Formats: sequence, C-alpha cells, structure tokens
Amino acid sequence: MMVPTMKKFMQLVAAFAVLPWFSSISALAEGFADVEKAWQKGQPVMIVITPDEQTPQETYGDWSYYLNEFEADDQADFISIFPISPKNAEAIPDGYNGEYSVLAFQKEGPAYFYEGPIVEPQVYEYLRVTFAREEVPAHIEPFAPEPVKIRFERGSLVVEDCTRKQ
Amino acid sequence: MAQLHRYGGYNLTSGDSDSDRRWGGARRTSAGNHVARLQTDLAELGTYSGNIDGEFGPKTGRSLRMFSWNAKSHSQRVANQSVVLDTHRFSGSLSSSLDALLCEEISRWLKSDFRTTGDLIRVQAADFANIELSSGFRVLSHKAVQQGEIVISLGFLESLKFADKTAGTLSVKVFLNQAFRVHGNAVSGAVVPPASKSQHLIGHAIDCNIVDGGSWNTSSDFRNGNETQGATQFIDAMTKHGLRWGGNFSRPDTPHFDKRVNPDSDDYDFKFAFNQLSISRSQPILLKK
Repeated sequence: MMVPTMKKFMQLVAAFAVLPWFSSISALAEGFADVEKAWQKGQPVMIVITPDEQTPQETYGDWSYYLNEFEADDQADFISIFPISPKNAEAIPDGYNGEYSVLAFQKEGPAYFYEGPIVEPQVYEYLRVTFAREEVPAHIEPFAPEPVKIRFERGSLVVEDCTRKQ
Repeated sequence: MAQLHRYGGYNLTSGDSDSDRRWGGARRTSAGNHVARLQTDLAELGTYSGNIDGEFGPKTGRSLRMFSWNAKSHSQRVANQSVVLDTHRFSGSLSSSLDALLCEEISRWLKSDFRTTGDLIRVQAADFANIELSSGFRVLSHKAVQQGEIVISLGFLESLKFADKTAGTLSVKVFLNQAFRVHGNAVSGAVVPPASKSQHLIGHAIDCNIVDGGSWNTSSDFRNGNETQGATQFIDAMTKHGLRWGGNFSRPDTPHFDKRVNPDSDDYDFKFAFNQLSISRSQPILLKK
C-alpha cells in the first residue's frame, strides 16, 4: 500500500482554499495529484484528519489501532488512505476538518463523511463493502457513515450538500 | 543468611561489580562472580536481557524489581511449556536490590523450573450468557488462542463477569470488538503511529457495543443523543463498579471500558512488559473457566 508521506501531503494541503457557495478543497498543490489520481482510477479514497496529540490516550489508541488494522487488511490496496494533520486541514470546510474526521469517496461511487474518531471496526467494514459494491450485512448497517456528495471539479475537490455544516 | 549463599552471601545492590570485587556495597578481598551469577539467573527467569557483565547497573536493578513484582503480583508461572499456578506467595518487597527473601525466592523458582510470565488468561465467549463477539472481533494471533476466545488480564476477569451479569439484568447484549491488544501490530504499514500506552495493551480494557433490542448504540448514536435507556443504565452500573467509560473522555470513545492501571506506574510498566512478552515469546496462556 502506498501511503503518501506527510511531506508530500503537506505540499498538497498547503495550497488548499475554500471556495464560496460550496465546500471544497482546492486541489492546486502538486501532491494532491495523488488523491485525484487514485480517484480518477476509480479507487476509493479516504482522507483522515490525524490529531495533533495522542490524547486522550485510550481514544487515540483505539482509533489508531482500528485504522492501522484496516490498512493492514487492505492488502490489495483497494482503498487509498491519506492522513492529514489538523494544521493542514484548515482548508477543508468547517464541519469536515475536525481532528479524526474522515472523508471517504469514490468516482461514480459512494461518498461518506464520518465525524470521528472511528473506534468501531464495523464503520471501516461498512466503507469497504459499499465501495466494493457488496451487500451491506444487516449488523453493519447501523454503523453507516453520513452520506455526502464529493467530486473533483476543475482541479478542486467539491463537497456538496454540506451547507448545514457551515 | 543461608539463602544469600547463592550470591556469596551478599545483599547485591546497585554499583556492585565482579571486576572490582565490590559486593553488598563494599570492597571485598575474595574473588567471585556473584553479580554475573545473579544476571544469569534473572536472564533464565526471563527478566534480564542485558549483557552478563558482572556489573550491577540499572538494567540489573530493574530486572530484579521486575522479578519481585512478578512474584508478588500473580501466581501464574511457566514450567515445562505449561502455565502452572504457584501456591506460594512471595512476601518480600518490590526491590531493585537483593535481600534474603528475594534470594530465597529466586532459588525456589529455579529449583521449580519456573519462568516469569504475564497474567493473561483466555476465556470463552460462550461461557458468558450476555457477551458475544462482534463481526469485527479479531481472535488474537497466538498458538494457544482458539476461535471464540477472549484474551484479558486476570485482573480484568471480574470486570468482564460484572459486565456480563449487568447486561443480563438489563436485558442488553455486549458485543465485543476487542480486548487485549498486541503492541505495535501493523506498525510496518501503519498509517499513524500506534499508541505507546493503553489499557488494552495490558488486558484491562474492552471495546464493545451495547446492543439493546434493535439498537447497537453506536458511537454515532451516542453523539446524536440516540442511545437507549438500557445502554445508559449499563454504563451507569459499570462506572459505579469502578470502571471507566470512554464516553466520558474529552474525546469520547463510547465503545471503551477499562479498569485503569496508572500508566505511569510500575504496575502498568511491568504488567505491560510481562503480558506483551508472553505473546512475543509464545508462552502458553491459561484457559480460565
């Protein structure tokens, strides 16, 4: 699994800008190409806002464990995960840029927002099965993240239907 | 002081040195390798991994302290690739220096062929009427652990039994997502650094969903105030019983319950070391009914 380096990702988000009228991440930075490239290929993409500090200890511990296990399980590199620090997440629209938040989306596929931390493995399982177009088992259904609409448009990542968040 | 004869009759302590013929804090005239012998014994018992250099430094002191903690804190020992329960209780103190009682304890362990281990146990989910394993539950990767088994510290067993009993009283089910956790799992491909300390790493925590009728009481349910009365009552009972609930953390972690051991204490450090080592050393884990 190719996980982008923090440096690369910092380059990416340094150039983010919020556009009026709709929530968006301006994808001007060179590094953002990795996200868009994965998206263009139809690969599910997951942006995770990492916390500044590893506190509270147990929350961080549970969150990091389930995220790392999810990544480790994804041997086929089915979902590309892009961690981003809160400092660099300022360009992500308010309501979507909090520590531990997750935006997961796929071109011509589903898109979700989860106001983290994700501390239940069933949430990741829900993402995996929906991106794989598999049937969602009934016991996973209650863990569904919030559906949103996300797309790339003229180099920008657009998050629609999020005015209620601002 | 007959017990101390194993190490020349000296209360070995920090600064002692075979090369300087310094034992028990003073220069001696006779030759000996008492510190090296202590180090060898502690390595055999599983608490010393430094060089056998005959110099009583911090590693030797910590190793001695670890051994005395292990002897005092629980009765599980490894002998002949099995976990045995030691009926003798070490009455000495937690110490980084050798004294007669500690020397006697070391001798007794070596004679019995005991080795240090953690206090991890295996319990079967089927033995609990109101606890089930969720689809996300991972069976611990260890040769002794079978499907349907949960690994926890013996020190958390009573808490798990209480959770089971309380769930029964309230007619809810507890679906476990995780209990004991191996430190550093998935580090090689980690997206983020794993936590350096957690109650899961010593076997004192569970992550679970409180299933009440048709509700899973997910993190989102709690965030949106949609948790059920059964879940609230369960949490209330657990916290009154002395457990911490992650929903009370500054960044809520609602599936989390733990019986906290101060992470800045010897108790945490040593329990962490022994329980994690028992996995990395593939030591047997006792099945508790």
